Amino acid sequence: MLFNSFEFFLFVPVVFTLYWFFFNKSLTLQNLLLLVASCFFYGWFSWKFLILLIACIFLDFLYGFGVNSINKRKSKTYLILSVLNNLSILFVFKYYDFFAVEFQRTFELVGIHLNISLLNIALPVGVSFYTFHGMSYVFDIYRGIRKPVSNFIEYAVFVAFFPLLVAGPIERANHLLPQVQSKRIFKYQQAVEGCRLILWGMFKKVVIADSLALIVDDIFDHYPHHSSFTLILAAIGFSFQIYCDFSGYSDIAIGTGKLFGFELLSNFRFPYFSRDIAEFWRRWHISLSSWFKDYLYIPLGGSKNGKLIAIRNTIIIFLVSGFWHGASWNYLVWGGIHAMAFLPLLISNKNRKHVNEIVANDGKLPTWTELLQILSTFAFVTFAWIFFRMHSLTSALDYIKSIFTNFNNLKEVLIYRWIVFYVLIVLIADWYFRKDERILKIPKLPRLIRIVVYAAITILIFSLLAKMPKQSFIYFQF
Amino acid sequence: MKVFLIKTAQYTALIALFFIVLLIMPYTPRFKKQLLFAKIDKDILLKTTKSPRIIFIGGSNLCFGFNSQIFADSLHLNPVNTAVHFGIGIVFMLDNTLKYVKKGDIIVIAEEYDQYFDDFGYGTLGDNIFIASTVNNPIGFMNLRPIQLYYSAKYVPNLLFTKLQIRDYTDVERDKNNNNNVYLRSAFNKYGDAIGHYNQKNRPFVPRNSFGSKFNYQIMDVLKSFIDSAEKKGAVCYVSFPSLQYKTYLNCIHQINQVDNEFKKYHLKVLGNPKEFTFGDEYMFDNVYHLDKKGVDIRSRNLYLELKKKLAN
Repeated sequence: MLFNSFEFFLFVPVVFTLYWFFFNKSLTLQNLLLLVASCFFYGWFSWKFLILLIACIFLDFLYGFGVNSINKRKSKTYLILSVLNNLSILFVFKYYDFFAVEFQRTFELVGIHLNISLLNIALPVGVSFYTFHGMSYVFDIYRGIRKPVSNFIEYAVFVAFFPLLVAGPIERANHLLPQVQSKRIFKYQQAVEGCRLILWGMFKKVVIADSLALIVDDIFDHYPHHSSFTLILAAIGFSFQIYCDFSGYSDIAIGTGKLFGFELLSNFRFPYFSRDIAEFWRRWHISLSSWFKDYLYIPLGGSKNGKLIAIRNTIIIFLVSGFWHGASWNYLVWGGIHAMAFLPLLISNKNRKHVNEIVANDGKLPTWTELLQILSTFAFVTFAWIFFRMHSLTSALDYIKSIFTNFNNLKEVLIYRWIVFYVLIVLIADWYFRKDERILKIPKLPRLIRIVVYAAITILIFSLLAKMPKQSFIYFQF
Repeated sequence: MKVFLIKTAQYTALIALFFIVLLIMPYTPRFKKQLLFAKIDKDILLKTTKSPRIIFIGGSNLCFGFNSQIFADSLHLNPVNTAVHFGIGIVFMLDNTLKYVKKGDIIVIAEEYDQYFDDFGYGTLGDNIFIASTVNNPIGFMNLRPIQLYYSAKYVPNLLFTKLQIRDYTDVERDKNNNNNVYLRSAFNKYGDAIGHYNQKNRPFVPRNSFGSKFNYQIMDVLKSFIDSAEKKGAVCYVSFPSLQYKTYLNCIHQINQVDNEFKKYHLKVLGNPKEFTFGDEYMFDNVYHLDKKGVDIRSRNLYLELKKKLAN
């Protein structure tokens, strides 16, 4: 069930009503309803893959007890089993065909023809997300951060809670499980914030991302026929499309979580106002970056064992992050490019220059230096997105080449001026709310105007939902 | 919780009120010129045409592929071609026609094959069914079945917004020289056949490879139920097949045979066979179901001969 679907608009109020009015007597009832609702939500995509999801949940639940063993060897064995189990699911569904093809190609280079059959199976929705949920749970038990959960329903809700099941935010056992294990009480302010986030998330997805997709997809699909300026504008458009698509999804997920009394991890913090690439990665897909940091970068030695080890680990992290997005060379290159931009900052110890402070915190506008830093970071990120967006490395390189060679009919760019309009809406809104993160909280305006603003956004979303070709969320394919 | 619910209800009511106002507003003059508004005229035909009558039910294969005059001249029946658009779905077409069926009517149902697969027959194609149900009554959609409402609901907000397009009030005739002006309410003759395309050149299109994924037996039940009800009123019902591009016929022969077989299994009175109504590209107007004038005459003649045979028995 897509968030931007008519079914979801019916689903949430029904579950909300059942949750707060009929299943609020006990924690078990609340969790039971959430589990059933989550299975229904996931089953709407595919009932077959629901079985895989349940199997994953069940196995990690069992591994949790084994990992908790006092016997270190036994504990480690169960940890390895759990990781192998999750990674093998990812391998079979996501990476097998890629490796099979590459393996075949490599052997063909030396004249050996192998005939490896491909699986050609559909990727289960959200598999990259829920396997990571499961792994974070067993890792935390192994590291002694938490004890295994004895109640299967509670664990199942932690992994399968419907708002975050298919595209995150990737939750941590330590953060979400305690919330699952305590009875939720309705809080007015939390619910209102949830509604605002859902509204803003829908706006970003339906009004901005899907509108941009209509223009940008066409340009990317027929890039050889477009002029240099148009290709640059399309790349900028895609930067905002993917941002609004994924952060829109995250906002809806976090907002829906709030409606049910949960506080989910933040996933985006105005990434396009980052002043360097290190700051960008602290603001983009935060739950994934921090997952890799905690469960890969630090176990590999992090930055405490000297510069060389830190450089090696950084490269690994970025390549793995790229590969996590998809079994294709262009994702690896995308990760590699980001690593190359990050390393100079790491080597010069400037990677933690902008950790918590917000750009132009004291003023209304950034300084000229900050503006230059923001623009150069954005330009780099946009350049890297070309590798992410194109379906192959060759076409990505060809797209970039076209930017530098297709100088005829430069005025064509004016046809696509709407991209600028959509980008400006996002930039202005993000800049206005950058200090607070609670988008759409506009207490300074009179109540009537606020209602009119909210109502206009709602009406706009509904009117566009039907007009747009049904667009799935980009991150559903990962 | 109480405050939250009250505020949510108020907000929802505000949004709903906006849409209700839009719903009550009439469609724009330009919008009213489109094909689906021919339903108003066809309902009048159903209401006023005197017996003995022959009523044709189907999608655009009938309105863009049929010459009712042949039936008027040869069988001395008064034809009513109710066809408008296949997107409104067979269920809506049958429900709408049943109200007007009289004793002695001969009814011929020739629906596009899509209608029998998946939920297409309930009107899943965009906002067509919602428009068709509201052409002369803004709350006409309340007569739709729940599944039809479900499929059309998501299109409603966008559809209602068309009523706010000022240019549709000030520049009503802007489509006058448009190539698509065959798809207008004004393109029909006195029997309900579309004739606006007769003088136009045929347009290229791509053959189809499938009509859907799964045969829908519920649609067959709806069809059977309509026939039973109409026959109770004293009408005689026949089913037949749509005009179809020959290439598409070859591509989809299994699905077409399935429809044919189901007609037989349900013991319906069938006119002709699917192949009889297939045509080469030279007879096709602009899609796999729409015929040009030459095709229209051949198809109508074939159906007439089939019906004549049945009536003689």
